Amino acid sequence: MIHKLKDVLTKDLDPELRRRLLWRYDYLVRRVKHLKANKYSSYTSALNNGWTFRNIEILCLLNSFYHVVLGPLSAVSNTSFRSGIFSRSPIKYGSLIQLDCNTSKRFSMCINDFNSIIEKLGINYWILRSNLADDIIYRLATQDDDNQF
Amino acid sequence: MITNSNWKTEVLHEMKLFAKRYSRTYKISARSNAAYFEIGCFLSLIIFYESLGYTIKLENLVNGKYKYKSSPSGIQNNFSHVHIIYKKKHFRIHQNLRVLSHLGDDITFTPDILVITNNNRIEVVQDEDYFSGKRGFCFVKSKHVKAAHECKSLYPFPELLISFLGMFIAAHKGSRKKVKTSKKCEMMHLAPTLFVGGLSSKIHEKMLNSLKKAFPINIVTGLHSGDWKLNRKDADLTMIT
Repeated sequence: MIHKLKDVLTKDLDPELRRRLLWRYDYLVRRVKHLKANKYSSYTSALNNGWTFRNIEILCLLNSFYHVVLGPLSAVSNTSFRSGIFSRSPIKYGSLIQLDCNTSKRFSMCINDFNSIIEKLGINYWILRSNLADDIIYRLATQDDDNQF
Repeated sequence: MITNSNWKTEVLHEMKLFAKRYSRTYKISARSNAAYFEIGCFLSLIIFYESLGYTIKLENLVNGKYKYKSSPSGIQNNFSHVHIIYKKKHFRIHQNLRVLSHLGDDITFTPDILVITNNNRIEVVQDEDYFSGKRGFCFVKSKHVKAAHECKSLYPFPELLISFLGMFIAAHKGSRKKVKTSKKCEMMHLAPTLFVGGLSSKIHEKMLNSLKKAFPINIVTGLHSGDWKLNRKDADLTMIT
């Protein structure tokens, strides 16, 4: 299952982004394996809350996808950019990018849709934004919706 | 509580639909991905200055578009910049403009975003050690720098925060008059700021707060979450005059 999900999320992704995403995923999962092997209480609590190792692997993959691919794009999806001074003058960044209202709107829709899907799947918003595996496991263990650790 | 054995199947199904709908949007180059983050930080700064009461003008547009300087090389005048005005005082905001540090004549570096006092202070020289003198070496001296800002689409690990201090020290001579207030005062600028994509944990927050107490800087985190603290009413930002 995890391999199928990896294929879906990384298919045709820029090689450098793909490499970073998979590196981050491996880094998170290695730490989860360590927590599991050493029977950390937080990991045990997460299991008691209904999570399995396989499900946690999926969270690590979605977390990595958000951090590497979608997170940076959320920076230009803010609606206030579309009404300000740059709404009349698109930004041209080298030969790579032209950022205008339509681009910003597309990014906004993409990220909002992703957040809706995550919510629908019952995944805590902050799990995707957690930096470390320990943070993810902590949230699963405590079922803490607050953004403070 | 995830006990449903169909959950994994549901995740795969939803992600397939998401990829089908949006892959053309997010499947961009790594360079573009980083660029969008940098532009986002820049736009946030402009909106912040607008909220302080500055008049904002885009200058040196190319065919009606803002030509964003994407690397240290290139002559600054060939790219667009932002002119901000408050009560007849003028400043400019540039991207990737090289700074010649007060620490030494050969110490130059290029912050992502730079607020300077005047465009007349940008110098171009021919240096034999720079492309054998065939390209102009463009820079502004640190004494004309109001604030140097940096953008990092990473998580706020300690070494990143400390390395920003190096840039702060090299770009800003002497101590800057710090005005820490939640009210918008006259002719204030956002203190040199490190924009960070990742969230900070509690232990990082402690380090951030200590650094802010020790230096007139800001470290704004969580920008990947769309948590644009610059424009929030409860933002605890350090300002300089």
